[in-house]
Amino acid sequence: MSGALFSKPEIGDRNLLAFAPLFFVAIGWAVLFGPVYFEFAAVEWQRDENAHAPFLMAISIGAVIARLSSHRLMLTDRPIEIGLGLGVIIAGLALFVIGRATETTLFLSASQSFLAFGVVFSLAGMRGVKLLWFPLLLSLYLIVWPGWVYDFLTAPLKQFISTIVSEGLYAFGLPVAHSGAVITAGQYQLLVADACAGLNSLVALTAVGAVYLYVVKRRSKKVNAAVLVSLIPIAIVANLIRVALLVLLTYYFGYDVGQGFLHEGAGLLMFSIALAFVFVIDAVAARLWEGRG
Amino acid sequence: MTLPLFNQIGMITRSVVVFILMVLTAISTAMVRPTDNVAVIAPDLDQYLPDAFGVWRRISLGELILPNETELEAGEAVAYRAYQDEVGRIVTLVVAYGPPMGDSVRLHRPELCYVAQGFQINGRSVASTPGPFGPIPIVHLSTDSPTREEAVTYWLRSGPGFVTDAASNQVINFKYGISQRLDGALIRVSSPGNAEFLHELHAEFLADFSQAIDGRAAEIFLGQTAAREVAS
Repeated sequence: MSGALFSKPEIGDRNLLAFAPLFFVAIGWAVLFGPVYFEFAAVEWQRDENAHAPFLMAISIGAVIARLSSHRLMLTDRPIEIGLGLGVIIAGLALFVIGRATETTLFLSASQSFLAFGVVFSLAGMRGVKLLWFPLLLSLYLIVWPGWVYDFLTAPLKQFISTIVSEGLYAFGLPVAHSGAVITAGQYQLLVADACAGLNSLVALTAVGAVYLYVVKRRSKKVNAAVLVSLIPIAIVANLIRVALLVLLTYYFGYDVGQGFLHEGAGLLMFSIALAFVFVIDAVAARLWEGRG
Repeated sequence: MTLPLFNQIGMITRSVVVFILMVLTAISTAMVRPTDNVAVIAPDLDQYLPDAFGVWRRISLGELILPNETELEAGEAVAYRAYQDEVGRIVTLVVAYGPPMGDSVRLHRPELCYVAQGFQINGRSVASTPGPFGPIPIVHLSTDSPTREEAVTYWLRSGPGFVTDAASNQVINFKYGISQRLDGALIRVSSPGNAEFLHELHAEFLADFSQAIDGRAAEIFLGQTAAREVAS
């Protein structure tokens, strides 16, 4: 039967054949990770710090499909690429087994990146990696870091924010001081909570920025680099402004105003402003180095 | 592009190999993995806390509770008590239980919980206190906030072991996680103030507490091995 299929390579058959590898990998992936995703959806992805993972997975899958429907993936025949790819696949599967057996979500989630890279490398080699570099890069966002990694980053970031905000407002003559993560503004005492550190919005902004760059497809590497480099400082400054704004609102209008619906609103507003900043930097850099807006 | 058809067939063969590897891994991990997905029921910790032990007597809770705990997830439980000794010294006890999934107990680690509530940690040291089956590793903390100082001492059980830092929890997960899913418990004592003797008082309190519990309570707070040894 298959002989008949190969003997008349019509357009339809070829298309079907071209998608067969994708089909096998997708089914294998679903069998392997399906139960894991089911558990992640109930626990890990519910947490703020991993909430971006399912969205980035959808974007990655979309990017793979878009790439493969416009470009033909060529098989590699270099033994080095096949062997190395297979090695990475086996390393990824080993990581999966250890992660599953010891309930280590870091290993379990990191095995996704290993497998994705290994599969592409063993099938299509370096050319495949070049074609699919973007979804492969996004797969790094699917890694679920253990809580203590976030704790490790959050504490100094909180300290930094409390210091800058209180000293900045004090410089403008306001009675603002801080001790640890507690900011005192006049009669009010405000706690800089974990969420105020802005680590989640920082991660989200880098992801959105990366997707934006990919979609816009700037020709100039300089423009891309300028935008990428500006993402982290923009996220940090936006968060500083947000915390300072909330302190000011509380100081002038009372605790209810500063901690009410405006608290949520300020977060969204700052994320939008940060994103706008990214677009402005992109536009300016493009005008400078690409000669178009 | 010289042999597009051959190219595609090779691609399919390799993707089938990948497919088989993935499915084999899925099947083998399904067998390795502990399958006893016990329904997660939070224990009623209050009933496992003795009202009196050693020199300590339960008193009603005043304004001593700080900081507040985070929201509880499924299977987690927290209980608060205050105890007084015969010379009038008061300590606050907070116990928390985390079910066998992920690292939920870490959320209650005083280092994070106190900092999250605006306290600064000025001192941290690891010590041990005698338990019914050997020394229990404990952690002393000195904390302060703009409004108060607090001395804190705790032990944190993770599965069959005790944890004094975040990394060692990962190690325990590794050693025992293959055969069983690990639950955990936090036993934390605190007193207002910032003096060395408070930490000594806490260590004595925890030693007395560990001797006073048995059966299910020992299983929850000290671990299953401990429960067996205490029982026998």
